[in-house]
Amino acid sequence: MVRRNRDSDDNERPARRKQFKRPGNEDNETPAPVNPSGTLDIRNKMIRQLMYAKLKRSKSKTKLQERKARQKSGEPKEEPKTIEKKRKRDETWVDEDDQEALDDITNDELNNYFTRKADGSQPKLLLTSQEGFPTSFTNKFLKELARVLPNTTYFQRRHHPIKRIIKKMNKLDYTDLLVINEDHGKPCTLYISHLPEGPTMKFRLTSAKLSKQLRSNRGKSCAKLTIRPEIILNNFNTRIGIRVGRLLAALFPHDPQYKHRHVITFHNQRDFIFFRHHMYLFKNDKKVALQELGPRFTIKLKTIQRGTFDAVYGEYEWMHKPKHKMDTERAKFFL
Amino acid sequence: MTSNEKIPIPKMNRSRWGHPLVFIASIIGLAGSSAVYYAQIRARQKARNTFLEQSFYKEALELTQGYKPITEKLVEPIQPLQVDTTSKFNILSPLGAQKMQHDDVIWSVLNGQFCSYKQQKSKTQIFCANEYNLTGLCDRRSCPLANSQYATVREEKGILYLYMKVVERSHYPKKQWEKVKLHESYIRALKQINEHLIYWPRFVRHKCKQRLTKLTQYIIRTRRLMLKKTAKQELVPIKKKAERRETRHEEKAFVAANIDRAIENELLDRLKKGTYGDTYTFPVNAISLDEEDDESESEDEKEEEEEGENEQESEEEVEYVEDFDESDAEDMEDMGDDDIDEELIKALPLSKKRPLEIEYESVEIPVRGAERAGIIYCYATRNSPDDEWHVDKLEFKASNQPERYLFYDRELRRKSK
Repeated sequence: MVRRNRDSDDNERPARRKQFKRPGNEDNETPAPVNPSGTLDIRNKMIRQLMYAKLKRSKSKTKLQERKARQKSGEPKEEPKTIEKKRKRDETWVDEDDQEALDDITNDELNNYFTRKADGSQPKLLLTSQEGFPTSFTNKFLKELARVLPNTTYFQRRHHPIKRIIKKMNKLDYTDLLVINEDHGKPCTLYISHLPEGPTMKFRLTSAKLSKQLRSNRGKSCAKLTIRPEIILNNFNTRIGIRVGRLLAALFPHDPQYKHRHVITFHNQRDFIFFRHHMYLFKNDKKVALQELGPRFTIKLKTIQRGTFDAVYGEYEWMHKPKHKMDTERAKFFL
Repeated sequence: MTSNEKIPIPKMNRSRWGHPLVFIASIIGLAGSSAVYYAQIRARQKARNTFLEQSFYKEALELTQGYKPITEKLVEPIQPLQVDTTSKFNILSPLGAQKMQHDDVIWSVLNGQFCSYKQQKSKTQIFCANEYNLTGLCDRRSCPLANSQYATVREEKGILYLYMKVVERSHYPKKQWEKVKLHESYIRALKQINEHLIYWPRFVRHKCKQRLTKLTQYIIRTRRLMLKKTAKQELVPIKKKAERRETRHEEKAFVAANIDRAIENELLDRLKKGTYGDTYTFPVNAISLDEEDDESESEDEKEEEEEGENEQESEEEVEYVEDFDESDAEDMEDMGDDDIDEELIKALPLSKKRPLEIEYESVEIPVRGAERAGIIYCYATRNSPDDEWHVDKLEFKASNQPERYLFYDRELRRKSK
């Protein structure tokens, strides 16, 4: 038999019988003893849990009330803060009429292409892998790329040093060299070297998907692109961005054939350039339908080197150096 | 050194590294087949064979034979006298005697108590970390500290040196080791060792020559590796944290980019600006359904039917789509929200998935492999009515979908057809 001390302070202990608390009667009850750190002070787990659930409900209720009040009052909504909006305006940001940038562009190595001079205007690309033999996925990826990028040849690189390849390419009037290196079976780096003394850019290649793997394509691989597609270059804002954008644009021939409705996009977002290949259809003047064909991948700029590929003696215009803390700021982008 | 008699060449045991050329050949054997490589292998084998016949090679063989007296004329050096003195630390006794005793004392201390160079990582073998050690083992004979007369061969930046330590210099720690630069040629270096260590104990001499051999092979290997591409390639470590961060940033950037919408906006902008010219016209009230309109209907990837709405420049015609595919319906945006649609389609039977049956004029375009594949439909365009059809995309779609699953067994299917 247990003796009950009637004189003891019963009030401190929580009630023996759990009263079934209806969710409607919250205003009448005393609020749960809440710690300054936000936790409840009740030692009984079941009751503590109940109290906590109640607390949460009341909080969300107040929030909802505030929200409704805000909506009713008709205040202008705050814009959601995105990293793009927080981005600081660089000195390198190019506005529309930046004279310096324009001058830069006119004296570019890629100028030949953009002013449609005879030697530069029709791009001829050579696509290779790294030294040795590419693995299966990279092989497929390379062959797909060779089909999507117009006027490309996939050349098997068998221990040929790049400089020798470049020499030969100059004789055969190629304009661009693309080299894809791989790591652990997946393509990991892309070098684009514009040939007649153009800049070489190294990109880090990620999330490569073949056209077979795209769901919208229904498991079929992409056919060879015999026509000239349209190009979209989005968000290349800074000086470096313009340089990269021009190099990428110079891979494709002039005068796109609009009738065939192919579009290749390089979309830059937070220094990641997304490559997409779509076929589009205007349903009316406000709606477009897109179907994704062709491979997709993301590239991120690592280095820009002046002149054709020369890893040792080349002059690097820009390098991404994580050691020197180029990555520390969340809202700082280079392209 | 070279005797007048013809000494038969003893069969050389194939050491692990063998002849350097063999090493090359084995590497090449792994490098994949191509005519060039085989030719190189053959050339090298030939070179190796000619090398093996050279006289200096035979000399080298002789020189490296261990424990053999250098010349028959020289007399074996006498072991130094072991003077037995009562007091171990007798300074006045002859140096020779002192030497042995002193060494013994040192060895007893190092072996028994503590030596900082002693490495016993495995149960069977004790190693010596001293840089001047000849064999690398912790041994009475190999310990450079416990032997006042000692010699080693060491390599510094690709050049081999013979280091010698004698009793006479034991009081000058700074000048203790005499450093002799060995010849670049292996055989001459062997001869040098023989000259310098002429009256030295056989063990030291032999081990020095062995060490010389090993080091020259090592140097050859490093040189070859340096010339190879793999040495020029810089191995860069993958930083896990940085990688993780990058992938995460990429995912977030992808979400923020909303690429499809961006592309659509861009295309619409271009349309507005007029870059497409007169290719697209979107009539506001396209209710009239003339026969001409039917014929000049536009082609559609998604097999969408909005008659008269997408009139493209006369000549694109589509073949077929009798049924809607569910998958296509997913791709497309909201169809049929416009009033125009509803008006047009009023006349036609409507069901949930809108199977619109429209009759087209069928054009037969020869497609390779059509007989085998059965009925093929395709998307084709042509620049003008006189031009040839250019096939853009093939659709392997049967006209009546359900039949596809009627006969799972191929044989039955073939019979039914």
